[in-house]
Amino acid sequence: MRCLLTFFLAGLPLVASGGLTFSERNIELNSKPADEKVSFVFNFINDGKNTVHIEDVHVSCACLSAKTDKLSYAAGEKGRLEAVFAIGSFTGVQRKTLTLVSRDGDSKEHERTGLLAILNIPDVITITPELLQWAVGEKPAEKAFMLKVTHSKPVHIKEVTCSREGFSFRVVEKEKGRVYEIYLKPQQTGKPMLGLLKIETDCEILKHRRKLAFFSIVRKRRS
Amino acid sequence: MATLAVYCFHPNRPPLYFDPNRLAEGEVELEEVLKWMSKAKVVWIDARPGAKYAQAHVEGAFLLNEREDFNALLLPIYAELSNRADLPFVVYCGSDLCAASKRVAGLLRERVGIADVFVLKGGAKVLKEAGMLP
Repeated sequence: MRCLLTFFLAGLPLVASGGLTFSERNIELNSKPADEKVSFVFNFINDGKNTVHIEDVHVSCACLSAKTDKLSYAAGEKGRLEAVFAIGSFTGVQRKTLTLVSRDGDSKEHERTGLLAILNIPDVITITPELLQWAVGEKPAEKAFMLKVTHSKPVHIKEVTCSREGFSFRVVEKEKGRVYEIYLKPQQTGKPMLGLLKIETDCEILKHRRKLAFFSIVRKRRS
Repeated sequence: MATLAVYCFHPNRPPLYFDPNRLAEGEVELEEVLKWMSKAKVVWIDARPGAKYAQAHVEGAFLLNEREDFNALLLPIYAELSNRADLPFVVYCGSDLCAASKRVAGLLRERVGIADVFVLKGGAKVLKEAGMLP
């Protein structure tokens, strides 16, 4: 039975989109470090014989909003699906899907067209590792975060504060405006706790000016 | 054709169908969370947009998402969260279709260092059905 289903699915056309034909179904974009939003457009044409009605646009993320420039497209008419991605604190490669729900002519059947936006969002300051950890009872040795500036302009650390007492830290400038190491040392590792370092910089882009680096003392998990 | 043939006869082939009741790794059902809540406290994290959170949220839930500034949302509540880090954290977003709860759960686990973080299966939809959200 499963084999039959497999052959049936393989025989179906890969995409059923009614009368609408998109010039691109996948869009790849690069944002700039200071961008708060990225806008992009999927262009399409109704190359069917009937008017196509747009019923809805579903998006895979609350960070995405999208709408078509019209609600109905006559045969041969071109259209645009305009989308806006609110970057917030997203970084790296983000894949977001959109589904255009349409209806061909007087048909009651809904057609669904899947679209994909791939967004490359640069991070101007990276901190590795994301989390420094000590196990409960572990020797309270010094461990380090590495802060790297990937922005085109140098960024300097202005101030570091620790959310927890009982930890000492020191900042070492490895390459001015580019690479820093922040060494952190607990006085003791007797009980579990979480904490963070708040790192204030002079980054020209406000949303990247403050960075957080997290640390924890955790119970050893039984294997 | 070769791929299909291998699929048909492979002893460990995955199912071709989607089972909506199957829990993904790190997911938890509301029924289970309610059992936990009958014995101890749970930390609720609302990963929906701030406007939705402002309209209504699970009693005591904290707002955290990536759509707005994750760090800016985290900083004012960090002390409270870190003091409750030994409790289970349950993250929800709109429904199974949104990925925000999974992403926030991942950040809490891997970046913030909270050990027990779960994603509520069904999200706000099941909370509404249970009367925990209007």
